[in-house]
Amino acid sequence: MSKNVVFLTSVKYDRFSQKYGGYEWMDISQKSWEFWCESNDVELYVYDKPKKDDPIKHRITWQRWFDVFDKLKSDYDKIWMVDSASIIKWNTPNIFDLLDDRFTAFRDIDNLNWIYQSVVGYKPMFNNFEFDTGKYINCGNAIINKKHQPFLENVERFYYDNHELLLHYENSKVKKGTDQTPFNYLLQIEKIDTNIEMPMAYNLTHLQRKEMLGVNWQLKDDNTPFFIKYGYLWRYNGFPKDTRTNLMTQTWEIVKENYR
Amino acid sequence: MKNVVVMTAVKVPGMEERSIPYKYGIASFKKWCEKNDCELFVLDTALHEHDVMRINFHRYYAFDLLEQSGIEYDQICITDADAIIHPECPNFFEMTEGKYTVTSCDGSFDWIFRSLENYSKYVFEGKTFPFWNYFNAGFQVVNKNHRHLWNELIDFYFSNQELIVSMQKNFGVGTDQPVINYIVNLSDTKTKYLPYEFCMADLVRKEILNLDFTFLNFKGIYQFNAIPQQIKQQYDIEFWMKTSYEKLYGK
Repeated sequence: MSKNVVFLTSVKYDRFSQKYGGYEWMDISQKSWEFWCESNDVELYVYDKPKKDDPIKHRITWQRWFDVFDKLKSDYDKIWMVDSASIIKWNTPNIFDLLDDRFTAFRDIDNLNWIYQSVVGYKPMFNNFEFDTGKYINCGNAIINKKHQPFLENVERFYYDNHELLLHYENSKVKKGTDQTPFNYLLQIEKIDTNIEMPMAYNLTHLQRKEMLGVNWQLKDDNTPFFIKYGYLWRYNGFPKDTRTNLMTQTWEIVKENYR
Repeated sequence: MKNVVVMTAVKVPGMEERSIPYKYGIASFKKWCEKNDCELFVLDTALHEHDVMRINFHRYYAFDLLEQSGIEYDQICITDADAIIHPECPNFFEMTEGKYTVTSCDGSFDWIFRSLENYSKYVFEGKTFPFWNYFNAGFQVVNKNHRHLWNELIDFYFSNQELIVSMQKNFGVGTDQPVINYIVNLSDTKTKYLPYEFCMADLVRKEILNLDFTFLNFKGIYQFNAIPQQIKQQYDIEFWMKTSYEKLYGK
């Protein structure tokens, strides 16, 4: 029987090391995923070598979509594509048990201003397509399967056909994200049936904005931070990037005993 | 039989100025209801003294109120009077599938988790439910099959009045909202969760409450809550509601 796979994007570029405050956070993430995959009979694929070497010209966020099916040689069922600015809680219920064969992702409503500006900014590139912001997904956490290979091939084709223009939008014209908004447009233009109704515990983002880092200071009977207590997948975005190692290390110090 | 939007717009003694901008919320829903062949019912008189029952709980009398007023109804939506609806907000009555329809709370999760935990511990005997099902009480769509839940809430309130009032006073994590959440979520009621747009709370946290009125680009229902004091000192709730209304519906 084919296995489900976690495809963990975990590429370390020396040139970005300072920007990210080092890469220890990726190692922490990997340790958590190794444990969870082992516990749930899921294969872990650490995606650390993209096909193209130039991370400025070809962002890793784009490349992951093009490389995923090439990199996974063996037979597999569903693929959970997640970035390594994440820690999976040790006892997270197996997400694959909850899924059908639709493209599955999580709606992004953390910073709606950013999303709105990004969607409006990219609109001309997509012939003023009437985009539904109510279905805007976060690209850092999605589950796909073989059925979606043709779509990802179309994304790749679109990318190379419009590469210079995409770089212009990304770096000068819009400056709101890399793959995420164009990917969202393509998802809607191609009418990919997308499931955005998974419990948000599998995608806790912007922990600080959501005020999830604290504890119940009124009851004072449990010092476990809310995100650890209630979340399954903790994602370390929405913070300054160079604080990621520090924040993920602090979390790891609290929870690491559970991963033995 | 029509679908009915029920709004609570009562002047609470001592808090009269809060109700000043309600007229914009009411006017927006009036126009939306006309466009969508629905009826608007505004509750503007308190059913109990404020010290007996906070105004938020009064909306759960909606079934009785409509019947006493001779209004036949299919579905009921309860919403806040300090909310403005976009004229092109989709007709949520057509999206319910006959289920108890709400939107998830998405704002300060410190507040949501404390509300969930504190009411679990002191009011609901340690029972709980998944936090992602905690809904905003400012937008609920129901039908006659759900009437027993609202009756249950009112009965529960009067059976536990002292405790509920003390919870409000001591913890400040909701009035009717945690109670109706526990009643619905601990029952076997079939629920439907609509997107955030149908109850757009905490606009500041979403970074869309600004002088460009970015939030108006989302065709939903705007809740003017959780606005920090330093913003309100310069631009009060009336400013946001009046200007929003005029931008959407004209002067």
